[in-house]
Order: sequence, then C-alpha cells, then structure tokens
Amino acid sequence: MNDQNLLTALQTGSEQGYKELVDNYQEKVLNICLGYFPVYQDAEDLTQEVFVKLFETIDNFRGEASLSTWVYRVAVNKCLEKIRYRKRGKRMAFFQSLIGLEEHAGHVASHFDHPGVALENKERTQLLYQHIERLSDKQRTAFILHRMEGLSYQEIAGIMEVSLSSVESLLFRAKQNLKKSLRYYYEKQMI
Amino acid sequence: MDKPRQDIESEIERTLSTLDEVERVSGNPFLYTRIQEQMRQSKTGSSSKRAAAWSLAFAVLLLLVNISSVLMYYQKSVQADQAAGIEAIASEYGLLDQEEDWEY
Repeated sequence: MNDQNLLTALQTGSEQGYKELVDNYQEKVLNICLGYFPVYQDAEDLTQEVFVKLFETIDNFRGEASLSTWVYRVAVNKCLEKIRYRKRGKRMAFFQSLIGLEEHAGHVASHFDHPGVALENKERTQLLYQHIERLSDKQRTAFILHRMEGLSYQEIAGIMEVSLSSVESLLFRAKQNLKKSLRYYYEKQMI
Repeated sequence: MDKPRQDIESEIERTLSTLDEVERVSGNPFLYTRIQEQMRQSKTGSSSKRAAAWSLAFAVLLLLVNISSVLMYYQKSVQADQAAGIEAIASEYGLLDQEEDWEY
C-alpha cells in the first residue's frame, strides 16, 4: 500500500490501515523515542502513545506534508511533551529533596537501557546521552533526527517546520555545544 | 597543542563517534495489539467520563432550578407581606375610604 492509499485507509478507519501504519513506522518511531529517552521500556511506552495520538488525529491530517513527515512530527512533539512533563516532575522532586523527601537525579544519569548500544560502549554512550540531554529542545531534535535517524536537512526542516538555514544553524550549534559540554566534563575529570 | 588538550579532544571525538556504533532497535511484534487495547481502554474511559460529566451537569441544573424556585417563592411571600402591611396601615388611617370618595 503506498502512502496515499494508506492515508485513505486510515481516514476510513480501516483496521488494515492502522496495522500497516504501525508495521511501517514503528521502528522509526521507537528509535526516535530512544534518541530522547534511552530506556527501552520508556521508549516503547512512548511509541505506543505516539500511535494512539496518530490514530486519534488522523482526521486532522490535511496531506500538506508527507505521511512520514507527519509521523515524525507527532513522534517528536510527543517526546518533547514528555520531556516537559518530566521537567515539571523534576522541579517537584527538587523541592521534595530540599525538604528531604526524595533524591534528585537526572533521567539519563540514573537510567540507561538502550538495547542498540554494545556493552563495551555503554558508559561512553551514556555519557554522550547525558550531554545531549542538556541541549535545547530544538538543537536536540535536529541532532537526533540528523545524527541518529540519518534524515536530510530538507526532511528535518519539514518535520520541525523551520527553514533549511535554521536546520543548518541548529545542527552547527548543537555540535558546538555538545563539544563544549564534553570538553568541560573531561577537563574536570583531569583535575 | 599540549598533551592534555590533545587527550581531551581525542576523548571528545571518541565519545561522539560512539553514536555511529549504536544499532537500530527493531519494534515489538505485539505493539499493535497493545495499541488496540490502549485505544479500547481510552474509549471506555472517555465514555464513562462523558456520562459522569452529563450526570454532574444534570445535578447542577436541578440544584439551580431548586434554588430559583425557593428564591421566587420567598420573593412572592415578601411582596404579599408588604402589600398586606401597606393595606393595614392604609385602612388604619382611613386612606382606603378617602380613595373611594375621590372617585366622585
């Protein structure tokens, strides 16, 4: 089924259409989610939420972008929504830790369970994810889509609804900030 | 470039290059079944929420009707009391009879 037929099937509520959308895109969505949340169970739960959202909002899809752009956009927005939700939770946890109720720790710092990472690289990759987590939402999204998903600047611009030059600038700044953050970390380690 | 600086730069490059070695993760074959279940639950949840919202709206409406009936009844009885009071005063001062005379 091509994207146009798949879209028609989805908009008519066809069971086959839903199943095909999941089959075609679940790997992409799962890997995007793992880019933001490198904990398999969290990423899988989020993938599920992304598809539920896609099915619920299929009637709003006007076909202005390709189906894959739309799927990526919903996945990215869902991940960013989750990050904001967790940040709110962290703020609460911080206040709780101030009054001695709970320990405060970063998400990636305390959990890392990415099944695509070899054991010998785990520590270093975890460190990298901790620093990716510190990037701004836009820089992080551009970085994940380009560096982890291998999407072109054009595709990223479509997903993030920004210009090509903005994508270039976001990626440049993301790499610079990542290097700066890692440099600071290693310098501290050497002291 | 001095040695420690070189070491740091090579560490940074090594760390950044670990992303090239991250393998893609394949999806769960049972994901679609799980999604179906979640959607079924959210539909059930939303219909029971809708029913609860309707019940609440009906209860509020009933309460408003009751309150307005009580207020209307109270207002009417106050008006009746006032009218009776005025009539009593008027008759006491003979105002009612005078009014009748004025008709001629």
